[in-house]
Amino acid sequence: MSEKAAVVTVQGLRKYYRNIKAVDGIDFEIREGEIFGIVGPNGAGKTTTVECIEGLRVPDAGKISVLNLDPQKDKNQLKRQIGIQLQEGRLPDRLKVREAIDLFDSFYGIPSNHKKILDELGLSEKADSYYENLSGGQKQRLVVALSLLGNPKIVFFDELSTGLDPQARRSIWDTVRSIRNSGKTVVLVTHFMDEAEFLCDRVAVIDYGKLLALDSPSNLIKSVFKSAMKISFTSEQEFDFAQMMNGKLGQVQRDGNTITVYCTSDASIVDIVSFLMNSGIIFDHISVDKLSLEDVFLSLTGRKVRD
Amino acid sequence: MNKGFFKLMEYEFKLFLREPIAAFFTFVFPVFFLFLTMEVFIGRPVVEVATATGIMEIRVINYVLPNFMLMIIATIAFMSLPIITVEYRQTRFFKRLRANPVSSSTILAALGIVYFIITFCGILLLTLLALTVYEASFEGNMLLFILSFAYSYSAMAAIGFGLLGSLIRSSRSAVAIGEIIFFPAMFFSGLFVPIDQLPEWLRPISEFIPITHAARLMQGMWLGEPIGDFLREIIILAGVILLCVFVAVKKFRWE
Repeated sequence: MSEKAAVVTVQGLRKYYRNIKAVDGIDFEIREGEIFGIVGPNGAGKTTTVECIEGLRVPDAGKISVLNLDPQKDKNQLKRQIGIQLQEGRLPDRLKVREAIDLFDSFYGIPSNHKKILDELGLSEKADSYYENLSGGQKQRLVVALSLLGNPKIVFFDELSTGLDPQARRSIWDTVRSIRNSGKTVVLVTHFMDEAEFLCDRVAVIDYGKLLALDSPSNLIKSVFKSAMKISFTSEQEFDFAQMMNGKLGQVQRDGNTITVYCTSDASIVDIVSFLMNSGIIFDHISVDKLSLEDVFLSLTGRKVRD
Repeated sequence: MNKGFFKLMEYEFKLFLREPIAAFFTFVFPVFFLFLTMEVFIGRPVVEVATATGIMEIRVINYVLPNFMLMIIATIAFMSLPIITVEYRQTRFFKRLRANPVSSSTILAALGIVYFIITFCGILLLTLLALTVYEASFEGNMLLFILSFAYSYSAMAAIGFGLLGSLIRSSRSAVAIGEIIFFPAMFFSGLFVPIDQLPEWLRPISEFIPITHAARLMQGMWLGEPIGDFLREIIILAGVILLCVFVAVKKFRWE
């Protein structure tokens, strides 16, 4: 795949709230037509970063260019060319679906085809329902519909699938893909690793306001782990497995009775099992898993719980 | 006019009508309360008042009607405006609107004007009842009266939006604070009880309630008194507007 032109360029972005460094020097590019993911723990600086790009927040330092516009100086021009879904943004309870689309469409000079938008997002049957009577998935689809009005070139989604049931998540994922397939660039902020892995062409991992890694999900996995495999088993015995293995077969992590080996590239399940048998270790519940973006994420950001 | 302005007004109006309690207090309650006041509390259309020049007959309705108009203004300004402002901020609806190519002044103007129209409708309904059933007589200059109404609305809306809407953070406290302000404003400004019937120590308080001055101005304009007699009221209300705009500029947050 040839590299497309950058539609968003971020250089040295900084944003401090009092003494908290929400964004502490971030650089990246978003390319035309990709689904670009921004992942990170709560409070990592994801939303601040995208809101600076959208022109909703004023950065303290750094340069941002979106579609060759400055989000602060050319705010009004930019708003015509991007679509935004806000994290936890709601509409008035008694506004109907049809009315919300009519209202938000009126801000853009050229009227959109409302019926087509309702159809595409599966909202036709709900067109006359109040916002408060929609399900979580329908609310999110409506918000997506609003962000597509005015035919934007870049669409920003911030925690689009939070709080949705599995069916609604899948359906919103399909929607995101079809938006990309219609030629738009999608920026997706999420803390669901499966979502980022499934949807995104490239993922930026952010923590403590810094960019930790940026690549496609599969390259991220390869860069952090030597092979794409982990082997877990349980054992009642207390032993220092890491020391016994001496780093030969891979990195070891112990969590209660569960031991996980992140294998090196040439280690196989046979090697692990024979090692266990030769060492006389009694083990149970052995499983082999493909490494996921979540493993990368946890290895980059640590396991400590954040609030 | 700016794009989206009329749609914002249209849907804000619909949203208002769909909130039955607010619509009830603006359209139905004042009419009912006027009926109650005229039929039960006062009971006679004309009262005799002793003045320096002798006994004067006054038609009660001509004094009560402007007060009731201010009650509607106060309902909108102290209840509806701060509540929707705080709610739209809390639910990030303001932020959502501003993420579109629509200017902040368009959003504010649409809200302010649509609530002015709603207030005007409530007042029109009330006036129709007063004119037809209670034979109220308008003795002033219609243009001056409408201007005095718009001016009073602006001052009260400045309090509701600029002051309360800027300083209150949660919609729950917006409801409570709206009530805390509304009822004393009604009682101590001469709207419910004539000021000279208040206990003497309470009377000076009315001077500090902006609505008192709006009530004097509108009553004077309804009765056709010369506008020059109300310079003090006009200046005080201008001060209220300036103060609230100043607070709003300093403290108002869209999110």
